[in-house]
Amino acid sequence: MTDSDRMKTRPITREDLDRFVDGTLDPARREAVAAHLAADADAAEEVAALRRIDALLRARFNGVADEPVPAALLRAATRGRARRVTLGRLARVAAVAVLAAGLGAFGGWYGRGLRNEAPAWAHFAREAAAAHRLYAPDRDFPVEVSAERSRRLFDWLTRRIGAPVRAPARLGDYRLIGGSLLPADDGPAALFMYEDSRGGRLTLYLRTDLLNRGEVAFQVRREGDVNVLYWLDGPRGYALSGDVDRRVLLGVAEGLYEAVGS
Amino acid sequence: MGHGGAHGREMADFARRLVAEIPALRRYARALTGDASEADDVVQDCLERAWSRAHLFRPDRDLRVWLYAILHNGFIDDRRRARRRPAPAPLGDAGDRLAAPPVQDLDRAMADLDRALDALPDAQRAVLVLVVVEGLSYADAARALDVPPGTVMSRLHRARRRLHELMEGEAPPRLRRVT
Repeated sequence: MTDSDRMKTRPITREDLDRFVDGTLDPARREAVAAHLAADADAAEEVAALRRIDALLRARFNGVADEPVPAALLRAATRGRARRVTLGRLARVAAVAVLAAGLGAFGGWYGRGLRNEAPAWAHFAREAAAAHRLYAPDRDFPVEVSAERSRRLFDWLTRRIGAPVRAPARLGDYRLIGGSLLPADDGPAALFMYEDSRGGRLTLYLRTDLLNRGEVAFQVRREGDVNVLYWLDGPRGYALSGDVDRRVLLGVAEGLYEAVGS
Repeated sequence: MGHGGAHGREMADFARRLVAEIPALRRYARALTGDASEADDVVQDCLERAWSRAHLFRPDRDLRVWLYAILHNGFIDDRRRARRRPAPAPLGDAGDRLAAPPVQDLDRAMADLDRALDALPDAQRAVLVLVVVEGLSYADAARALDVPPGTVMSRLHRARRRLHELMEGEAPPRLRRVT
């Protein structure tokens, strides 16, 4: 008798059923258990019951991982870091990590104290999405100044906006192609356009004059067909928009923060 | 704690990795304690202990499994110290509810699940949650709980049958061929 035969003929135990449900049996044994289930209604019912319980357990607790992370836990997780790193920076880097870990419904836990100012940043995200929608599809004149003259681009925007403005040359697979000056409702905004090798575009929308104190951590917001990842640092607001999965935005968020962070 | 250079980056990296594990730790703690605020206390304690033991963490180990182990030890210590989890509800009233027929409605099923989980011994609940909800292999669950792999298997088996009994009010049918 071969090993494989022995695997098939060894009596089925109840723990085999657990392993069957967990997918941890080797193929020969799994086949033997499956054959047993086909012939034994009680065993089949037991497996069905185990699966019901497992599904219920997952349904019960999976949502916990999508809840906003309490600030106290974030502090506990980051407090061991070198002291010269400021807390604001820490929290933002941490926020990227949390978002990158797949937390879709990540709320404004860090900006909780700013909730009364919510309109400022909700409005900001909408502005950014509107600018993206208008300029990103433009194949003829998507930007006013090309990135080939990036120094002049940054100098010009810095002068017109009245505060230092810069943007990284690359965001992941996306390359900076240029920038523009835009009129927002109540002040100037800078728009940088990025493009990948297939012509897909992201825009970085930036303002430096928002009526906002303190910080608002990274958030991803759906504005119609556009996902917007944005954060506020005092009066400076940054929004990265694209008709892409939020994971694409999250994938480049940290590099972006490192490049523009104050 | 270091103040710069490679060490600073290591610390930063450790912080970032810890933050990324918070959601899973909260999920595990919630299932383990059955109480949202107790769960977050347990997670906070776990994160603090993780920092105080950071020098013991070997990069080749799975950080999440390491954290689950710290969290579980903290939970057991707490329970031992405070005996915060109330004694299992007296049978009779609760027993009747647990023995209700299979539920149709999801909320009701969840409420029954909570009660049934609460009635499981801590050690069984921990194994069940690590394997089923957290998706750990038996070997990793054994590491997280510091027990032999065979113990994980037997506890998992008992936990599932007990839960089934508590929720559906009957022992699952016996297999005819049991070794």
